[in-house]
Amino acid sequence: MGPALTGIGMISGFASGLDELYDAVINGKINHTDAAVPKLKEKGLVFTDNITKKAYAAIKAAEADSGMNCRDRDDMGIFLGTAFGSLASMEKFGRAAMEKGMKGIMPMDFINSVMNAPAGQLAILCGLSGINITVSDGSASSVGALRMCADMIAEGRVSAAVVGGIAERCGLYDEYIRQNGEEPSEGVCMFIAEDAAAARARGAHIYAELLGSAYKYAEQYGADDIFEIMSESAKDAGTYLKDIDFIITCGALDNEIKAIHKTGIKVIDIKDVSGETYGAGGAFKTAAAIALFERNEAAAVMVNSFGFDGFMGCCILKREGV
Amino acid sequence: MERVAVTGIGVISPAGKNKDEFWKNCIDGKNSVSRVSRFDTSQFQTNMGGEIKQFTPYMKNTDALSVGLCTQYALSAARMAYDDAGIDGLSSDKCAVFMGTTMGEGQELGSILLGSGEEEKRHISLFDVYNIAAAVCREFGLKGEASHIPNACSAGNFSIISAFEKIRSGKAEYAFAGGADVLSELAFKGFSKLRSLAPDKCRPFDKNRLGLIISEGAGVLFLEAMSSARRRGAHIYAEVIGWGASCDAHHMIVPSPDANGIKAAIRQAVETTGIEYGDVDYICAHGTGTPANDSAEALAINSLFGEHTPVSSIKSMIGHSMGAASAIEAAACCLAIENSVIPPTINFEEADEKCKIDCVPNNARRMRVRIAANNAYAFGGSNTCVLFGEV
Repeated sequence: MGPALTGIGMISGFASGLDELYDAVINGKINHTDAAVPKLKEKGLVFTDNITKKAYAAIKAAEADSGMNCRDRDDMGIFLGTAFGSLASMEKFGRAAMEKGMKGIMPMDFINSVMNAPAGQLAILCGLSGINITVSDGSASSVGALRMCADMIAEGRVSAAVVGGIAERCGLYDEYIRQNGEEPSEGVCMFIAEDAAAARARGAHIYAELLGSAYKYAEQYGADDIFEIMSESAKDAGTYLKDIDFIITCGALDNEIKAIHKTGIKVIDIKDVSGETYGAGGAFKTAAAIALFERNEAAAVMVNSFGFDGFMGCCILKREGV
Repeated sequence: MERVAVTGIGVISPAGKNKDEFWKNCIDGKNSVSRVSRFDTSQFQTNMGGEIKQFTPYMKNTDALSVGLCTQYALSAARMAYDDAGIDGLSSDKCAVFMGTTMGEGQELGSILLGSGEEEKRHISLFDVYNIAAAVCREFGLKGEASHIPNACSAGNFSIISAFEKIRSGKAEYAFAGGADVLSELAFKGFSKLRSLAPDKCRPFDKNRLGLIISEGAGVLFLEAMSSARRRGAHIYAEVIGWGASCDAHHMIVPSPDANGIKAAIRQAVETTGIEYGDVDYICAHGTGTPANDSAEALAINSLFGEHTPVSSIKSMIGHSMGAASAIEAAACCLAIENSVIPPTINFEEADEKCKIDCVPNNARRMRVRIAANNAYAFGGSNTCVLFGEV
């Protein structure tokens, strides 16, 4: 048994909640939601950067959604998937440091530029005193974070955690994504995850249970590799590929389509509406799976996070009560 | 559950560009920090750093032009760890890779941002600026579980923790676990702006300590299922026996003065492993030499272990190598167990009332080490404690 996801919060240009995400992904209707940095009053936010502010807002939404207060637990962890951390902050700090020298930089600019800064800032802001891990595996970052979170909850190292993915556009990011043939996009998508039995005991609404996953790096991979990792994920989840209702995919990867054809499972591609959210992609796909669950349109969904960087993450989610 | 053995160690550090040189210089108490020559330091609080000089990369399948210096350190340390393990061929899907860093290719990033053109010559992608784990996989032709954990100064420990859990659960038979960072002008500027750099020496736990000395390097442990290590008659340095982790959730760069987060990480390590505090013979401290870190860490150690468990800081000798630090210090723990000798905390002149610990001042100490604890704390107060035991 895996952890239960009991709260969701997201900010993006294509959806700011499950209904909008469903509309965008299934019906192709993007409501062009406001992806701007939310106006927040908390004092501690003045030293944080934009991506951290967005992630904070998403976490507070997830927290309220779950009916849990993160500060009530002394072992609440955070597992954050992000390809580059706050690359915009690194750009800002780096350019100022190299062009203007010491006089051109502020201490917080350097702190915010470090890859695990968002996770650190969020822990301070939300009172998360459990394990604090940043997973930076390119396109698979969010699935990597979910996987690590699941392992730590299963081991009893944390009883609950904030888990999700963040991505932010900036010059370097856009250039890198476009060099790899994709359209850059951004957003934050955060969940509250907790031990499933404990979630049920407290009467939480359970959006999904993370049944299992598989994860690897392969410099070159083909359809057989993808089929293998999907099969491993199913085995880890204690299920079979034939029992999966949908696979939420990574876009128009030829190899992935070939691998999925072997399974006969229906495919949903969210990249058409989301663009390449890279490190946050797996989190948005997980939210899309939950949007299907909430409408009883699926019982089990596979999320595939593969891309041009070689990291491959695959996880399987189940609807509560199935 | 499988036990996890350390069968290979690779270290690239200012104290030595291989494990043996590193260890000899640590035991000799050599100060391996020097004047930085890689870039102009005239505008900074200090011109001292743990710069690795005359480095020749040791990589077999990676073109040095395609990766930056941080990755070259990581790959070289990984190669050394692999050679040291004496293993004959790795099954590509049974070996996991967990690597971490603070800033990745900080020096390359500076060139990229300035558009100096250097990055074009080197063909380093933005992905490779940040992701070392992928580079290790490519060097060894691995297609198993891999992850890059950029948890800054606790990255090495988190890599070891992740590898430990994968091997313990049977999901991998081997793993590379470590961290790397490069002494970059960007890092120097950043830490200088934080006013956290010492002017000349790193003096952990000393009353007159003034801060840290930035450094660089890589540490990689080759971890292996104990059953596999025994089956092939591998040399086993030590066993990873447990770990603990927590977060201060207090401040981005200053530990909580009550040390509750640090205590929580240590407590979790000791209690989940089922040992007694008195079973720990050596604590390899985070020991950065900053007033705040050392007093908080000493408070935690004193309250849990008492005043007499030997504690030393490798950073006194090699500086703070950021993402590489806890991996290099993990190597030191394993070597302390293997050799029954504890490296010193050098530059120690005057005891601090706020640091009531035995910091093994200035001279190494010969004694049996049954269990060593490796402390590491990162930006944001991400605390770790990894335990190594003799086999």
